[in-house]
Amino acid sequence: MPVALLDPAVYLVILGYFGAGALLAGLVLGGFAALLSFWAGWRQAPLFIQVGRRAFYAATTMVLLAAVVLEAALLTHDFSLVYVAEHTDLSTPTALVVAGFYGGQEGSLLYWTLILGLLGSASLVASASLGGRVAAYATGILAAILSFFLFVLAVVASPFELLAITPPDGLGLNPVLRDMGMLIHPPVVLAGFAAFAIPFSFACAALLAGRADAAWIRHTRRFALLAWGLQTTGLLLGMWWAYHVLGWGGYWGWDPVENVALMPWLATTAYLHSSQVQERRGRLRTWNLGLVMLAFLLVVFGTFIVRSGVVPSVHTFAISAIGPWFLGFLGACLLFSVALLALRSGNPGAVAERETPVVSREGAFVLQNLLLIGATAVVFWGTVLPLVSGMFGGERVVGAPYYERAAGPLFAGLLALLAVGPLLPWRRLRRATYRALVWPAAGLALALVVLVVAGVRAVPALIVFPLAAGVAATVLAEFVRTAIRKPRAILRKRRHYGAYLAHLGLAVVVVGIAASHFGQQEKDVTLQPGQQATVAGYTLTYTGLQQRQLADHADFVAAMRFGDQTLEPSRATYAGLGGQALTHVAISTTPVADVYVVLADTGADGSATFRIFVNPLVVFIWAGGAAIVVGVVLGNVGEAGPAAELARRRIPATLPA
Amino acid sequence: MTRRSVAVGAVAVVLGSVLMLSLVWGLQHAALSNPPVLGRSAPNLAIQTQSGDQVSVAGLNGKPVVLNFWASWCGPCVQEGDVLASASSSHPGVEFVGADNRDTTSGFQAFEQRHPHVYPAGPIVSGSYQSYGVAGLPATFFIDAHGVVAASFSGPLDASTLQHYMALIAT
Repeated sequence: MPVALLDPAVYLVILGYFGAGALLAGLVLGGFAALLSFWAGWRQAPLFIQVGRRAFYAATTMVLLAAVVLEAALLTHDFSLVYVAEHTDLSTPTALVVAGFYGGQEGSLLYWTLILGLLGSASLVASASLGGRVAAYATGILAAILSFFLFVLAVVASPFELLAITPPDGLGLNPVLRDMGMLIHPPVVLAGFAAFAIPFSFACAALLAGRADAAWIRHTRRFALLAWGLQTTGLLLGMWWAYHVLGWGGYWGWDPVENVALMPWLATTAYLHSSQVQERRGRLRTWNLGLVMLAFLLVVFGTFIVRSGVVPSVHTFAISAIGPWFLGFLGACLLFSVALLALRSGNPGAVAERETPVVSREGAFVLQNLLLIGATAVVFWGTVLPLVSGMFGGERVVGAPYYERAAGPLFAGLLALLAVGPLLPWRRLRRATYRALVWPAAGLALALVVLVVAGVRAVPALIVFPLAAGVAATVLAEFVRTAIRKPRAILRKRRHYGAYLAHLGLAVVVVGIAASHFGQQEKDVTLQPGQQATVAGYTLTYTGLQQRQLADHADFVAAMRFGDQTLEPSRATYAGLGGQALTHVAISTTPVADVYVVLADTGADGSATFRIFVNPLVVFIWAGGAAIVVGVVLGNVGEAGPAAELARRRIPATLPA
Repeated sequence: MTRRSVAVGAVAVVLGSVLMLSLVWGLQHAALSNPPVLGRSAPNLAIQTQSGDQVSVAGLNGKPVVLNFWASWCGPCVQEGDVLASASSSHPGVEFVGADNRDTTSGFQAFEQRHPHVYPAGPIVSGSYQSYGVAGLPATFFIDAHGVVAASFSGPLDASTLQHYMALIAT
């Protein structure tokens, strides 16, 4: 019946089948690429290595197709799909409908798979220069990971599941997610997570092929940096979002989901530094392999934690059947990594060879690595403690004080190293080093004196701020010295000076975190219109309450006069979602402090209860964070252009005649 | 293999096993799951009927309640409509409430024209299907005279199943 074929309902159902078909085809191609690549690498068959790689590209194309289909279904409001009906409705703004792609469990897995496929393909394009074996094994490992995700998507948690009856409207997006932060935070974090698979695959491939030299590090450096940069951005955006949307006055709560995003970042920060030791001095081979594997394992672990609901968290994903599958995948990756490290690396556990002097650049990197891994262990233990203790009977949960007390000293040690480490030369100390150390020492002493004179007596503050000043002095002295002597070097040695900028950014972030942590003031007040409240010297006047009815929710808006501006904290009630209420914070930012007002309650007599925070120097966190990202991006863009590298490597990548 | 590497390996295996086992344990005791409403006080929920009256589950305390989640776009909900209607007529001591989910106003009104409810029914104005852990429609909850959820049923009800569950909340 040709008429039925033109019926939009029939066309839409076919769209769902089309997506599911693409996922299945991708799964078959991915599995084929994995098996063929391992076999071809083992047999060193260049033709089949090439075929395996192309099968990976084909699998990625299928994932891309599925992603396009899902996005099309979202944009056309095809509520025959469970996923579309559960995460959007007709009143959802188009930008958030687009974001619905990664707003739920299944879609975000598809997004992750897509990024894995695209970045994996990009990393494979120029991989032939590493030798057939390494390239083939890397393809095989990437394809195996891709196939796992495609299996979960095709069989366990399909975004293309159909409803028996097509409802006229969907359920809509959770109000907390109806925010512009939603448009950028999740995709950046998820893309960062996906990117960690690439250094992992190449590290494992190098070990499998018995080629644990620094070639894989050079090849995947860009991807490790990309993963790290995305993760840095994602963490900052998450903090920014929590601060501006959730309304509890803070930006970091040591929530399990925050922890699992922080841990791979810590491990990769360690790797980005220790890999230089291998590149420069040929040391720490096994350690670097271990770090890259650790980062990826932490990503898989984090995914399991977030999506299985095993630990209580503010980030609720709908519980689904994927928990056991991800646990199995984590177990398989763990076994594979440990077995590879134990069997194929020469000297497990060797962190530094004996002849390395402790006080040197290498020594600083090793110490920095140990501190970072120590911090990772602290965070890891706090995250799994509810599970481990629960298994043995009494469930225990730790909060922020545990993390601050256990990880705080480690972070302070890292800060001290950040001030001194960049000044230490490779191999052994020279006299010039002592002269260079004058700058951080001066910065530290100056800050200490200023703080003491200003009346600060809190010991943590007296440690953190002077150390941050020391870091800043080290970086600024380096920039000034170079700018005077040979200003062109700053552009020529971009990687070096980009890293310095990132260090400076980190010092600024630390100042912002420490100031807002130690100096936050808060006050709960109930005011009648016209009454004032003063917190930390900032006076606000409550001018009145009004109710606004919007399309999908009702807003209670309380107006507060602050200087010449009006702050409007509000409470929104979403009738469609069973009266779910959401707070909209009002923030006035100055370079010195944020005045942060939350509307806690409203009275029938026009009175309103507010919680007012004054958070010093929060803007430093965002500014410093931006400096870190800019430093890393500018430091690495165009270092050896990808186009040039491709052109250089095209010849060995082609088929042999 | 040196004694040291064996010791390192053994420690790694023990730690890895404890970790994996605790994760397995965690999966079986997931912190998030459907809200456990059975045996608990019924979560707050109120609906507004076409005539504008609000009916809340808490306000019916003292009488057994059959709380049915439905929607105008839900085919099986029409199917079970007659069964629910006749049960409500034959059991005047039991209060029936029909909670309409994710519906449009016009959809609700059109449904009431074609299949009028004989008991209070309308869109949810307070509370949420989520607090009952409703995953699909129709879903029916049986609340006893003390306001405790005694049983729940997912999918369209037939007369004998409904009889069975209503016996559980009969006073």
